[in-house]
Amino acid sequence: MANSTFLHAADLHLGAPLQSLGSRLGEDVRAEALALARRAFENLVQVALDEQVAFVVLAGDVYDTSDRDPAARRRVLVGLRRLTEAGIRVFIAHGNHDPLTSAALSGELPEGVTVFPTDAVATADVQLPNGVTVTVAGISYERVDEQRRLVEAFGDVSGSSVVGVLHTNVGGVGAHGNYAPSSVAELEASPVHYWALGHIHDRTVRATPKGWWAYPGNLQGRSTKATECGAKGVLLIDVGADGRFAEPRFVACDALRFERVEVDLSPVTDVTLVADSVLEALDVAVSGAQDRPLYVRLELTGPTEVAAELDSNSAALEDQIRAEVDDLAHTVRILKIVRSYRPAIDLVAERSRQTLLGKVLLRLDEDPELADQPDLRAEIERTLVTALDGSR
Amino acid sequence: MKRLQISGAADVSFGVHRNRSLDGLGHDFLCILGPNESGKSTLAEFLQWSIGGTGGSASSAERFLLSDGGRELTGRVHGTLDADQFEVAAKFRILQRGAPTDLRTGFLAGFELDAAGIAGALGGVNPSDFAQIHRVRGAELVGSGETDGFSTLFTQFAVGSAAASINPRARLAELQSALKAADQRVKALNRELKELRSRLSSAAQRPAEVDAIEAQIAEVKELQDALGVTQGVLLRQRALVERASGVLPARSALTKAASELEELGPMPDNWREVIGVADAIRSADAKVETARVRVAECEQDLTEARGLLGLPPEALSGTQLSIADRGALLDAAQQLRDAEDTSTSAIAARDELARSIEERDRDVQATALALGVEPITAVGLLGRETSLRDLLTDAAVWVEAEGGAAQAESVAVARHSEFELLQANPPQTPMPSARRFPPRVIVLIVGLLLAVAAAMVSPVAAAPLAVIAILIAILLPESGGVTTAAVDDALETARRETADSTRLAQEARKRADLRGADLRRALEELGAPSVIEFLLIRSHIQQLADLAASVSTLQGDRVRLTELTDSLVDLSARSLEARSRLDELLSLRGVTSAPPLNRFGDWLAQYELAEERAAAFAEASARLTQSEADRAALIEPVAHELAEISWPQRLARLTEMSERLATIEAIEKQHYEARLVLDAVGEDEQAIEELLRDHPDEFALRARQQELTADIEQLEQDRSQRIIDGRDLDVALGQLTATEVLAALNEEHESLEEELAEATNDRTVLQHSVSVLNEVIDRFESENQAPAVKRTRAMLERVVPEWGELILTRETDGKAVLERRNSSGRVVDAKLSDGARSLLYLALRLAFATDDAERRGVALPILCDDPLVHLDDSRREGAIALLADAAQTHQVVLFTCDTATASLAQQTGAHVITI
Repeated sequence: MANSTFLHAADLHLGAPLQSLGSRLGEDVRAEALALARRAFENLVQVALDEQVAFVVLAGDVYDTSDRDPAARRRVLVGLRRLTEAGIRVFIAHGNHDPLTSAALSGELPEGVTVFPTDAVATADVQLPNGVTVTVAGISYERVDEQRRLVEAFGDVSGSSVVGVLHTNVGGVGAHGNYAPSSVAELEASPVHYWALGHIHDRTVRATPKGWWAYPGNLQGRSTKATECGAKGVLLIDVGADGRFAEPRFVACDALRFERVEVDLSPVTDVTLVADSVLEALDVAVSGAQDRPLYVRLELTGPTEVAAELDSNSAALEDQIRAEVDDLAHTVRILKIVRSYRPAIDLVAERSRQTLLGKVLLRLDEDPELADQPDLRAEIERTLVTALDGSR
Repeated sequence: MKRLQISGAADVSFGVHRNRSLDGLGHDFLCILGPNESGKSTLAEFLQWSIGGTGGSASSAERFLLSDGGRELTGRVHGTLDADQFEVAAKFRILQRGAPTDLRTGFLAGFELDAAGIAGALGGVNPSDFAQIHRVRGAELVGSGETDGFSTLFTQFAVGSAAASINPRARLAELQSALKAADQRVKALNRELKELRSRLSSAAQRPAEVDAIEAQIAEVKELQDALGVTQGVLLRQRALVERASGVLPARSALTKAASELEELGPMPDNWREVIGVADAIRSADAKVETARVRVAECEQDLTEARGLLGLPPEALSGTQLSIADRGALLDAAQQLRDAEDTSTSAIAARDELARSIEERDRDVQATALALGVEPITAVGLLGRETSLRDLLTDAAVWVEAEGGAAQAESVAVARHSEFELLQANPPQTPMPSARRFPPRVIVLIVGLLLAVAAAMVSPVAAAPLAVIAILIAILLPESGGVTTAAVDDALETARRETADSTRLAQEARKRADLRGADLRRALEELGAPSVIEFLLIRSHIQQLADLAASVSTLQGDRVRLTELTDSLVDLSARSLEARSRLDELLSLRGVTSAPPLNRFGDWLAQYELAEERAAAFAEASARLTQSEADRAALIEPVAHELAEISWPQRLARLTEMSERLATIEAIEKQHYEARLVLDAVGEDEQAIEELLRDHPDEFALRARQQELTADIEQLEQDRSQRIIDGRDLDVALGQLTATEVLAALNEEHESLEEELAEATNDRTVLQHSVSVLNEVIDRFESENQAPAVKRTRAMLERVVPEWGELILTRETDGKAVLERRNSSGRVVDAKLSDGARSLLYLALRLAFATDDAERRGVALPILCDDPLVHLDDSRREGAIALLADAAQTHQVVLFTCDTATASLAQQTGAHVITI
């Protein structure tokens, strides 16, 4: 019999106000982006309907803070109604952004929607169209800083094809709050075959001896932070007739996209051509975004002959870039321009010369503090090379 | 390398010196010893100006003016430049402002030099360099020292990367500035973050705030409800009082109303029925009056219309004139008019034609008589017009023939006359030169030709012309003669020509007569008279033809007259028929007198208007009848009571009865309301009775009512306040729940943290960069000092072994700074003691003097003006040793007032001169 499919999403952060955009581009732009961002959830629902999934799991942080935002709540209810009316069951685990502090938070949900409780792992069997019975198990946060090792609560779950829904920081990834801590070993040791995880915004899919653990990432990027950039969406998991879970497939649902675009200025020899290089790089990003509005953090990199000119005219250059981007691509907005380029100096040759810069580079080479911090060293080197650029 | 060695000075007039000469200066190391104010420094200045040239300002040069005030300073310096004799004749003019004028001249190896030549001979030396390097002052540290003064020299002589195009210290300062900014940003972000965290903490309390507000709202609502209950009780009490207040007047009102009703008696039902439609009756009456007025107006209009048309009263039946009727009337009128118009025209045409025939007949008679034609004969010309006009051609032929005959006859006459003339006057003896044609022949020929031409136009004129020509020819004198034979020939020729012409004339005459006879015969055959004179024949025939035409026209007119007379009979019959038709149509509508045909349209329009008025009158009459019937129907129930009175009286009666009924009903209402009040007491009767016991009269009840009203109003105010409170709380709750503050703050927090992380990173990068760059610059500077600095340091170490490092560095603005670095730390030159500084500057100048000599290829004298005054004995000794060393390359002239110094110098080989 054919495969059946379910949809795994997490970190929807509905109601997120995209505040940072307002401070960078103005309230009108933020409002525009906000309106777009709200469509991501509708896209999720449409994907579920189009793919005729058997069920949907939402692994925490459905709301950005709580589900008190009436508009966000209404959107969720409308979407959930569309899903359940199509016979698609929905399972929701609450995370650190929307802990299940009171039952009222889920009181008005339509029939067919299961909200996992906070006190213990709840399970539900779902009969897939291909005859396979999948056991969906999950648990919600009872507070923001959930410190219980909730992964342990899945130890007693049984079933031949088990989906575990959990909002957790596997391995305590540094940049994220280490809520409901868990480890890869714990995931692998559990009876769960597919871990539908939430919390980490970077999409991550890892195989385990039993199946997979996966973060779909957040549904809609919210800033130009590295973890918020790129395509955002959901994972679709096919369940074979043998009850095995296939490798998750990613489907983008974001309605606008944040990207970090690097522009290598090494080949640029004339400062007037910098904007061209930028537009070229943006073209690639724009085509990758597939007509979505693009919010960009632009990073100018590489050793370049025009470094000194760029430094002395940085404001004018930024204005020019923004103006040209505005002219050529109305769907692209430059949120930030980071200048990581450096003067075009042969640093290897410089080391062998008895120059001050050569001495500086040798000094950095010998610095034991920087030995294990390559990024910091690179930035210091760039700063010093720029400072000692004789062409300035 | 060349070496300039001063050997003497002569005639020096400079400052305090007047024509002073000083010989014996030609020593490598020369010490000039003299007491204070002996003019040592002035002499040193003179030597400096003479060798290096003058610089500075007028004010600084003022002190060297001569004691008598003279502004021109002079003197001579002589010596050698290597093996060459060198002499400078110094001359400087001190100006009121600006640098002194350099008027030096000189000689080098016998060659004369000007000031520029002197500088050129000395390697291009310039005043400032010479003063800076080769003039050493000890007493005036500020004026002679400070590294800043050497900045230019360092730049000029600098070698090594430390003096490259960038100023690393400036770049370091930029980084330090950036670091400071980054640090401030980190601090600011931290402050912002702290404040945001505080807001976050507050926002986190919002659920509790919401709960608290919701509790307050519930409390306010409860209070509001309690006030409402109390207010309800009081309202009921007040209502009881109000009802009790109504009971007393109701009782008396009930009694009074019953009495009045009894007095008024009942209102009969038939009148109630009629009063119920009183307004309708009045309205119907008004309609009757209106209809009546309308009938009168229509009747008047109708009468006027009939009068205008002259119609009898029965003429207008009230029916409308249909379109067909109207068309038939118009057609009949038009037909009649057309028939009458046609008859009239025909009669006029007949009369006109008859008159025309009469006139034409008279004309024919007259013409016939004129032409000699009998009237009967003239009638015979009918139809002959064409034939007569054909005879005009024959007439023309006859006239032409007559012309030809006349011409021929003229020629014959002329020939005959010539012949006779020739016979009578035969030609004379021949002339020596004769004309071929004599004048009289020419005249004759011309005249005959004119006669022939005239005969073509008018045969009658030809003969006179021919005669005149002959007479002129005869009267002309003979102009020549001919021979006898010729005369005979001419006579014969003339006779022959005369005979020929006569024959031709006879023939022409015969033809003409024949044409005339033919024409006369033709006329006779047509019954027309003829004429004898051929010249009149054409007009005669023309007139006959015209006569024939008139006879023909006359005949035609007579036929048409007969026809017209016949048609008039028909037209008369048609007129009668049309008149009959119109009369018939009009009589059908009662119109007996026929309207004028020429204004029949207007008459018909007036007739139609009259018919409309008749119809309006009929309608108004019908409406009046209907209105009267309606009015009568309305009053039917009481008709029998009102039968004998007029309508105005009936209406007055109706008004009277209506007022009476209104009074009865008002009293009945009062009775009813009083009854209601009393009935309403119902179950509250007991309570009201008690209330009335306590408040037996109206005043007491009113007081109680006011008391209750005040209480109710107070409660209402309290309740309103609670409602306002509730609304305020709702607003507050709405504000708290309307926006997701926490979400926004969380995001802002996240964003701020990101910014802080970036700023912190920037600061770390800058901190590290500053630290590394500072360290490397120090090291680099230490390792890459300029040669002059290195030499200076070596000299200093000779004098002060524990001196330490001497580092030339630059401040952020590029200013050179000398630093002494040793175990005690770093000291910049400006902070050194006077002694250390004067030693430093002495060594520095000696070092630069070496550089300068190498660059110029000329070692110039070093003029030291008591440079050792700040040094202790040990350092002075060391310094003199340095000077002695320098003297190996340069001539060193040491001016001093200190005998010990002079003695020390002498010990190192200096030649001492005392002044």
